[in-house]
Amino acid sequence: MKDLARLALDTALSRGADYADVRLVRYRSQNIGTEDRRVSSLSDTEDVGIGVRAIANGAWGFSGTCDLSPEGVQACAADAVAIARASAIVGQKPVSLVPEPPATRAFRTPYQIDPFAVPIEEKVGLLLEINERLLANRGVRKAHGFMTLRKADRMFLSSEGSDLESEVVTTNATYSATAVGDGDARSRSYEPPPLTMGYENIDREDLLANTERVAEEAVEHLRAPECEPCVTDLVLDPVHLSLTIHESVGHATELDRALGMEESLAGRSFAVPSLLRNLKYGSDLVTFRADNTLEHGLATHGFDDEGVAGQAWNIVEDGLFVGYGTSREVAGEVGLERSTGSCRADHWGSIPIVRIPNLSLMPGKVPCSPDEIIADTKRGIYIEGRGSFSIDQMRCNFQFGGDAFWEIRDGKRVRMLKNVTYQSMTTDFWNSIDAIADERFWHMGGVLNCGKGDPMQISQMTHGAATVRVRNVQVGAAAGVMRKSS
Amino acid sequence: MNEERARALTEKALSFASADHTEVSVGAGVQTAARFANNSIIQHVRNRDQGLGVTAAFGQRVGGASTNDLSDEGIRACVGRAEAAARSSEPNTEYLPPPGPQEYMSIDAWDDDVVELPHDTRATAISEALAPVEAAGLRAAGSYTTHANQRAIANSNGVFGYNRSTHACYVQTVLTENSSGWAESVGSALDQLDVPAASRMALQKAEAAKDPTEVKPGAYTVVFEPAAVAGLTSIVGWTMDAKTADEGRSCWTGLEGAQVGVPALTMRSVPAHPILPSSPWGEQGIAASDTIWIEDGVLRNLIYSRFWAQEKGREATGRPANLVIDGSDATTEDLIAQVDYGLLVTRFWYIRFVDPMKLLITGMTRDGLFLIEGGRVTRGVRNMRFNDSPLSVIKKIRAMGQARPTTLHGLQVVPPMLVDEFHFTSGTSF
Repeated sequence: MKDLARLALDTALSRGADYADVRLVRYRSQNIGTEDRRVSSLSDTEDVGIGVRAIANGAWGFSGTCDLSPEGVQACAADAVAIARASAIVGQKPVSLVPEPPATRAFRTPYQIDPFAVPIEEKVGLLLEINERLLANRGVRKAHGFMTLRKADRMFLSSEGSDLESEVVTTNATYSATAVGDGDARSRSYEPPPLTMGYENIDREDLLANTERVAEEAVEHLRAPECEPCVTDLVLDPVHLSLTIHESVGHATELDRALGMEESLAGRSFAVPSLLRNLKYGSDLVTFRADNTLEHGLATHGFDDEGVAGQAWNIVEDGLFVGYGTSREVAGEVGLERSTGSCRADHWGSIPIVRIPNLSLMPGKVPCSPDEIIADTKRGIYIEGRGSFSIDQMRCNFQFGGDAFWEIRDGKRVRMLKNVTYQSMTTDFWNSIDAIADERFWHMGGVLNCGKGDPMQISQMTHGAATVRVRNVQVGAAAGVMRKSS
Repeated sequence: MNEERARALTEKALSFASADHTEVSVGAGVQTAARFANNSIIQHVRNRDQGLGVTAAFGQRVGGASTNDLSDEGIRACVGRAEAAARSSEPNTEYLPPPGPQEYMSIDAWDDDVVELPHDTRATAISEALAPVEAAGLRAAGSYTTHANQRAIANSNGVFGYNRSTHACYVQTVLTENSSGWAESVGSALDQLDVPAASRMALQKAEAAKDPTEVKPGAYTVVFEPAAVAGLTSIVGWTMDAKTADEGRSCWTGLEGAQVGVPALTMRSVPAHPILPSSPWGEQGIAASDTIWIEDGVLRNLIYSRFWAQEKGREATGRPANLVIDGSDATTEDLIAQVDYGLLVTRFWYIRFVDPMKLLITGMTRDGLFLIEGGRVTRGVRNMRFNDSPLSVIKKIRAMGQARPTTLHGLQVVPPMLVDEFHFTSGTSF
């Protein structure tokens, strides 16, 4: 296979490319879905192809093909160069890449059990057993289980001399229970973290141990009172925060967005380069650290899709906005001498774009538990898990829901609520954090379906956090509209 | 992949099969996209791929596999993985054996010009579209994309179907210092695309939206342009699943046959639509047909899968192939003229469910929110977040205009709508 990649690279250069890189990637995935006592979906996918990226006349061209004959990859490489030349018709500034030392190495996700070596019977059996246990609660009318297992074997060659290989394995299993009654239906989910890890991440004992609680909370959720619109304090768990971080910090600090390059689809960012080291993004407690070397992180691939090694750096440091995720093309726009290594493609047929790294809220520095935070909160709402999420294209105004909600009164969780949403502006929100649990309670969450780009690409990344408290947030405006209407 | 090649591949796959029932799909496609921002092309790609999918069933034990290796070995291995998965699985009690031979409607929305569009022609079209933007001292971003797909299905009960289609789409956003304007042009053939017109519209909107004012959140009379309507109607189209409704897990529970919208509203799917056609087959190769979802405001059909249709003694509908709402001869300006004080929405962004049981959704306006005063657009408005239900919206439609194709939220041909009392709940900083 490396001969084919080399042939593609040589062809691009012989056609006049000033720079070229080649990715040859083979994917394997299994997705299993269960609904109640049936297997609702079971698929096993294989996919292989090559993508060639070239700079000619100062512009990018990219071409991908599944035709892995010598003629096929040569045509693909020649096409990439021809596309680059056409791109130069509409260009104002030649593409320039910050340096990356050429490297020869291989990266492999540390894993013990190959997920594709585990019998399907075992996987299906686990999901059906989970559903059976959820349905054992008479209030639960619907149970869903889902398992996704992925492997990507990647080869990367560049005209600068990089020769890299990786094998990345990703695993995750989740489930939910839905209670139905009195004209309503409410769910509760269990979402262990998706990780780059083997089948050992599918923790059978843990998954089964939580079924009874999840079923009970689904039923309680159904009977819970509606959230009343108010301004109150929020206590947010790490799984919930993974999405808040993703939307309001991760996307906001992608440098391509900040430079306007993503405008036509996902939008731009309020966090423009002139605000670097000038914007108080969060309170003094808030540090967001990017780390593409994080063990088991979903964006831990050894190197990104332009051959830049995984790195760790701060995005927000003690509340101050200090960094971006970058590609080699855009890093120089903020004076970086090396890309942060955040340029990835979702497929051999997709051009790499700036993607959110593994990005985590660092734990509090003083000993503090989630229980202590709740005990210290007079009035508020505690939110677990992920629900509704929406944010404007500049990453300012957002509205989030969650999976489960509890009213806090006088330092205690007193009852569940339903239809809780909160709305805030990004920097108002992160500046209102006055408590973060310590590292004992730091937990990795993650996103497996981050959409960006045009054509749309789907990517994955980890977001770790410990439970936080946010003061004085507007809650319940969404549900308030429906009450006014009815 | 022509029909002969597609047939040979499906026959090959079926010849390797040993399951009780086998379904096969094959396809090949070429996608191109030139993406621009800050008045430069920043990404320009072509991708050629192919694929084969196999669903194997032993009784009700069902497994699926796919590959893009269409060699004999690749096909044999794919069939083998599907059958191994099926054998290892537990029953899918909703599985039905695939249908026998079907009569498919002819949908050949294929344009060689889309397939053969040279890279430099695409780039030159963008360059020409950007010229007036640059002349105005402004910046633009957008994309020019094309798709060409050939696909076939077959099964062990004798079904075979072949279809090919092309699609082209141009979108452009123009940015001033404090405003933006957006427009799109879409079609299945290149001559249905009007790139210069989309560019002019985006430029005109951006300039008209300059120096936006702020209005208070609240309930407004609103004129939605077709792209904004599509954001709301897509939620209607995606959620009308009959099984979910019958199980009490949906806002549609008990509404079949009920008046859910204004009498002027009819929403249907038209697989052979001349501009935005869909596939001639649906679930498991069942022949697609025109379907009426809402007729004169009455909910005629929910979405019935084959299984649920059999359970309930109904016709299977499959999922909506596209959504078509007929409007009137009125222009968007005619609708605006009927509004004394309200808002004009170009499109929405990041629409998400808040409460599926009420079909309550949220989202942001984007790229052209305008104030209407005294029957005309007077100025731009800073973007706002809405929280409302499309189920409420379709009861409050006061007027509709000329339907236009849009692909921002799936394949839709929908009119601009004048709607009363739409709820905005907060503003933003731009």
